[in-house]
Amino acid sequence: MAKIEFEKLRFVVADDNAHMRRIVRTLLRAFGSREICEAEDGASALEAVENFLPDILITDIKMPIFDGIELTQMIRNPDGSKHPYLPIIMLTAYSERKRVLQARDSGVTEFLCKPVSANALYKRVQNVIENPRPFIKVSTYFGPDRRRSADPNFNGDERRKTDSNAFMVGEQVSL
Amino acid sequence: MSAEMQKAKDEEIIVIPPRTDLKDRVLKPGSSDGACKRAIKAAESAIEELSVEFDGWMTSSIDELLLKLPQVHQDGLNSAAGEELHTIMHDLKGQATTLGYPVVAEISDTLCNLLEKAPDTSRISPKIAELHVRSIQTIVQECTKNHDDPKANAISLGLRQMVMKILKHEFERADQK
Repeated sequence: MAKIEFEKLRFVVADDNAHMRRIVRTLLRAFGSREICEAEDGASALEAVENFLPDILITDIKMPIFDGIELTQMIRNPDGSKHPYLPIIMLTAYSERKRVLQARDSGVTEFLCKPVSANALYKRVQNVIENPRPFIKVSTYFGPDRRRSADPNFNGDERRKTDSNAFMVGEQVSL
Repeated sequence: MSAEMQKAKDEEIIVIPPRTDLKDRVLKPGSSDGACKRAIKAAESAIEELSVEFDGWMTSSIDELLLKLPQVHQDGLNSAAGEELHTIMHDLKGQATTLGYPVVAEISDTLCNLLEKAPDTSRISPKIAELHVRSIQTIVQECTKNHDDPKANAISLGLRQMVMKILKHEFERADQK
């Protein structure tokens, strides 16, 4: 396990509940982070992402104006967003499978259920940094690869384009 | 195979390689597990220090819930007031364990479950919501914080069983329609 230099990381924490924002901010500050911007609704969070340019967004699902899923969809817009590759950790009290799949399909990087613990938050941030995933671009999805592991029983055609053109796409994009 | 499915199958999938700039910038090579464990320990201590404020947070959440009840009784659970009560309960579900009240998180989860899964929330009596709010109030006032309290656990179990019965009945009713 390598050490993360939290003092170099900028976070946006989006949650409509002030107490929860305080808890997450307290954890991040204890990890060593000093640059933490808070947002209390989806619109403020989007504005913070565009202006504060964080390294990681931690967002709730249930928020006013637009929710965490809609926020993620807006950020994961390769044509209109300033920060389409931003790592997004969804921190929510919704733990049902339906919500997890909805979050995954909107393009979140990690999903974390409340109650939040220091250990769980640290591990999600660590995973985002240590194990960045490839991004997938199709007409219906843009975001981190939703396959966490290869299916050993898959025997269909490989439709993913991993030739030099695909890699050029990656090289041309900047954060 | 439908035309739509065939189109999806034929669509080009572009794989963009993982970005490593964040990793290169903030990951300190060669460090041991000790530093990570110290960071986690420091964060746990920081939350412990913050915990002196937790009782105040819990009390203010309960006050908010109690304030919503008259309007919920008047307008029903499928109203704006019902939605506001649901939001406060949802917040409690997420944070009560951190605040030292795991049973309050359970009770909030039970009511959220009812409000999110019932086929028609207008059929759910506001008295059910009040019962949950009063139970939370009782537990915070009378039960031991952070510990297994038999009274708190019995209240939580009773509410959960009641909600399961209501949901079963509501699903059966919806199926018959």
